[in-house]
Amino acid sequence: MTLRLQIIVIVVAVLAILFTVLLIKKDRLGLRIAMPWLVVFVLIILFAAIPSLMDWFSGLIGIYAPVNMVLFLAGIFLMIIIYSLTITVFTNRKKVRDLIQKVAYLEEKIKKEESSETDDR
Amino acid sequence: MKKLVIIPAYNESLNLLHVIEDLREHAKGYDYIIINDASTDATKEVCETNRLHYLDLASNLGIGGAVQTGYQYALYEGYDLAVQIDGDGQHEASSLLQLEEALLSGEKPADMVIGSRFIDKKGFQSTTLRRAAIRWISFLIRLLTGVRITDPTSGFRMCNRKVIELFAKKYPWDYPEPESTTGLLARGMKVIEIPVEMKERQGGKSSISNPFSAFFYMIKVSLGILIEVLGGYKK
Repeated sequence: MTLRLQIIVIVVAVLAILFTVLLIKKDRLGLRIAMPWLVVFVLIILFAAIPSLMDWFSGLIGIYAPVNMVLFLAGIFLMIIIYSLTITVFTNRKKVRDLIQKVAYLEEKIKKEESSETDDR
Repeated sequence: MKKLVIIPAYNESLNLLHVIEDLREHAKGYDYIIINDASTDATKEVCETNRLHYLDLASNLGIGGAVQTGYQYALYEGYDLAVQIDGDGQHEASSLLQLEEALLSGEKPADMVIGSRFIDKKGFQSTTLRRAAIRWISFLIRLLTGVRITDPTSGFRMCNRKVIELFAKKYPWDYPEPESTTGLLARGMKVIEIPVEMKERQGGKSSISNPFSAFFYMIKVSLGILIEVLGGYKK
């Protein structure tokens, strides 16, 4: 990795972290849901700042070329993030369904009460 | 004993009144509740102008969510028995009494009774392809639970309070019938069938109308049945 590339990668990753923190502060993103991304950005900075770390780690998990390890890790992280998003989507779907069902029931109840009130008069 | 008919309705403005008239004539002693699943036609207006009893879903939930809303209504309002019928007029109200008798009588009362087209083989029998699909589902349920259900996709089902409580809590989103029936069997509940006649749908379209959705349907239902048997039904 050339020094120039190292600097570019680090600057972009730091900007990404700052952007994420800004969004969290503005309440447009939750810390919990953004956490995996922050971990990814920090890892990118670490690997770019200390290239020998990349060689050591790829040796550790048995991958010849460090670049392959980067792609491999990127794939794994994206899968984890997308999988957790799938769970979140379903949870939200369920919550929306529960709300729609509750509202329908309450609406009918209100209507029934109103009509029985007018009947009393 | 409080008895409720659950009628899920998505774009059924043309059929709904016939269904209700049929109920008023042939199902004395039953209350009914229509679930308008955010229809885009005049279903809601039909309910409003005829002062029908209905719940209005704010957004479309699909058949599973709509029927479940009916079961929740049955739960909240203290019904002892609930029966679901289709809003398109396929099911005849005159069969309700037979379903009720089958549910309540017998040495061990059943938890659910399904109205089956395929016992007496009378009335509308569906297309060859659909029948083949139904036979496969039936085979799968028999293989995994040991119980023979000839018409697992029938939307004409009556159940007791115990099942109402279960369905109000957990009910499949789409193509719910085979899965939810298997769920009951997996929990050791008693599900029986009696012969009924069904009519061809009077209007509207089936939700499974092209090869892709048919393929998706088969995979989804087969997997769903399998997962239910694996103990996926949360207690």
